[in-house]
Parts: sequence; structure tokens; C-alpha cells
Amino acid sequence: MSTMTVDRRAFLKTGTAAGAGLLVGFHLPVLATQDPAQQQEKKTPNPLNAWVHISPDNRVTLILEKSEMGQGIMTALPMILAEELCVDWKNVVVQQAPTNPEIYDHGTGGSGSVAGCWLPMRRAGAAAREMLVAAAAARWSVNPNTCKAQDGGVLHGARNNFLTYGQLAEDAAKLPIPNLNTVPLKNSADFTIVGKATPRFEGAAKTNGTAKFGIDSRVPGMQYAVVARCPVFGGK
Amino acid sequence: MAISFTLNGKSQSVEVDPQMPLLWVLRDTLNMTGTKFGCGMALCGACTVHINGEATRSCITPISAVAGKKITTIEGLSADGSHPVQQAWIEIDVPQCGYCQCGQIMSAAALLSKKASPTDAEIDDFMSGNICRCGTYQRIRKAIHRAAEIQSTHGKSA
Repeated sequence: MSTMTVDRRAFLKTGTAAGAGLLVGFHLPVLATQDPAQQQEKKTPNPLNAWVHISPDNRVTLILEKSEMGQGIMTALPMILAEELCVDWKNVVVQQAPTNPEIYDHGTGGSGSVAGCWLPMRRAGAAAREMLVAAAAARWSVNPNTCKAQDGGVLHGARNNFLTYGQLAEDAAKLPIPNLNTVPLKNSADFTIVGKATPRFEGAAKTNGTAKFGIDSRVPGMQYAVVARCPVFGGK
Repeated sequence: MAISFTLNGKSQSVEVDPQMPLLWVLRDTLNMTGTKFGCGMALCGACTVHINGEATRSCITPISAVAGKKITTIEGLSADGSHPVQQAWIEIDVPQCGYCQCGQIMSAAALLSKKASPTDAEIDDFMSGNICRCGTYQRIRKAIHRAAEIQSTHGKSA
């Protein structure tokens, strides 16, 4: 199957584990193409394997358990999140999830990352956006419907009031989380990021030698080894 | 025995086995990891650097062979990533996984230093030793043409 429905396990949860600010956890499918029954088998105690964090100093961090291998997901996935969150996608910093197999599968493949993350990523962005809008509306004592999220903040047009997400993050973190299955998503006609040809964000790093690959990892006291292979086919 | 050479414009001296490949010296002794290990047998081009301006596979070049020579790596191609080839690479969005691209860029830069405006055939011929598993060849060729344009514009305005 090419799309995943969010089941009851894919709930949102806020917390302060990542420090001050708004933290929204959500669930990404291991592989979009995987049989849901197989996914059920792999149930982990913690179904939250992706996080969006908005800090009081306006940093948006996406903690992601997917790997960039040239397919462009470190550009595409922040774009999808940013679309619903109404921020510049370049301000979304992707942080590689830790290597904790209990929580993070890090499974990336089958051309499934964009297809599989499309809805969960949008819903997480929309949920955070709705919470930030609600926080702004409460601050101004106005109806949330009269407020609009744009450019990393919430605007109340009539009053010409604007608060950045960073200014709202702590308040938003205290609010209930919208239901992921019903949180309002943008109409695709209103998309300003998704659907636009966008150069990959790590393009410069891949042209000046600073991009880090597995072979470039260094740890203290690291030793180098190679397998001594027999030069003769069939030899030992 | 210390072996001395010029690396990205600065004099450099290393105490290593004279047979050690230049690539290992760059990556493991000097911790300059922009130049990549691909095949170790000069078959793929990922390790390409310039030695006295010539595109050279550093994986099969013993360090003793570069004594007194001038080496340029991807880290030294430009101070700020502004070499015409690097500009064109970003503009055309050439890299996918990116592993081979520093070698591709070093080869392309060496080509353009000899031929200001290479033809498709000349590009294909010169770049044939640089392999890209993602298959970015069409964009590489396009970007070399673009880099030639950038280079000629800079030349005129300078």
C-alpha cells in the first residue's frame, strides 16, 4: 500500500523532553510499502518516532529517523512539514534521530519516504500550527478563526498583531493536542512550498567536501582495518 | 622520512611510509575527508585531486611521488565554494548522494583549466574515468557547460 492511515497508536503527544518550547511527537511508518500486518508485528513500546520542536528562539527542528541517500528527503520532508506549519522550509533543521532501535527503526527505502511521510508530516505540522494559533488567540482574547499562521508566526490582521512561533511555543505546549485524523490540512491550491522545484538543501556541502558520509566518521582511538581477501577465486 | 609538498597553497610535511597512497595521507593522516575512497584502484575517480594542475587519482599515487609538488583537493579548490565548477554544480543541482561529486568536480575543474569551452564529446572523453552510481551524468555535462560560461564571464569582467 502506498499510503498509511494513522491509527490510534499514531497519536500526538507534547512534552518538554527536548527543553523549553513546543514539542509534538508523531509516528512515521517504517516503510510505506510494507504490509500493515507486518508493521503491527514490529510494534514498539513507544509509537512516537518523529518529533517537531519549536524553541522560544524560533528554531524549528524535525527529529527524523530517515536517512538521506541522495533521494532528497532532507529537502522534501521539511518542505512538507513547513507547508502546513507555515514557515520557510529552510528554517526547519533536520536532526538525525538517535540510534535507539527500541524507538527508531531508521528504515529508509523502497521509494517510500515521501509517500509514507506525506500525511503524518502534514498532520504534525498542522497540529503544531493549530496549537500555536490557539495560543495566540488566547493571548489576544480573540477567536482563533480570526488569526492566521504565516511566515513562522501568527497574525491577527484586524489588529495588526503578530507573534512569532517562538513567542508562542511555551503557551502552545500547554494546550491539548488536536486529533491527528481530523486536524485541518491546507487545501493544495494554497500550497506555497510543495510543488515548487526546489534545489536540495545540502547541495553546497556536497560540492565543497564538507558533506559527511559514513566513511568520514571519526572516533577517538579509531583503528583502520581491511579484509585480506584471497586473490584467487574459490581460495581461502 | 618526512615528505614535503604544497597542499592547497600551504607547505605540508608528513612522516609516513613513502608507499602510503596520497589518499590515505589526506583522509587519515591529515583528516581531510572531502576526497573520497571509492575503489582504491583508480577505476572510479572518487579520489581525484590535482597534482601540479593535473587531475590525478590519489588512491594509487604513493606519497613519495608527490614530494615537492603542488596538490589541490576539493577543500582548496576555492576558499568559499565559489569556483565556477562549484557554482555551476549548485545551480544545476548536480549531486544526488554526492559521494563521487568531489572527484567529479576536481576532474571538471582540471578539464576547464585546459579547455575553456569543451564540447560534449570532449567532456565525455575527459570525464569518462569518473563514475557516478546515481547516474548524474546528464547534469554533470550540463554543469560543465555552465561552468565554462561562468568562467568566461569572470574572465572578461576581471
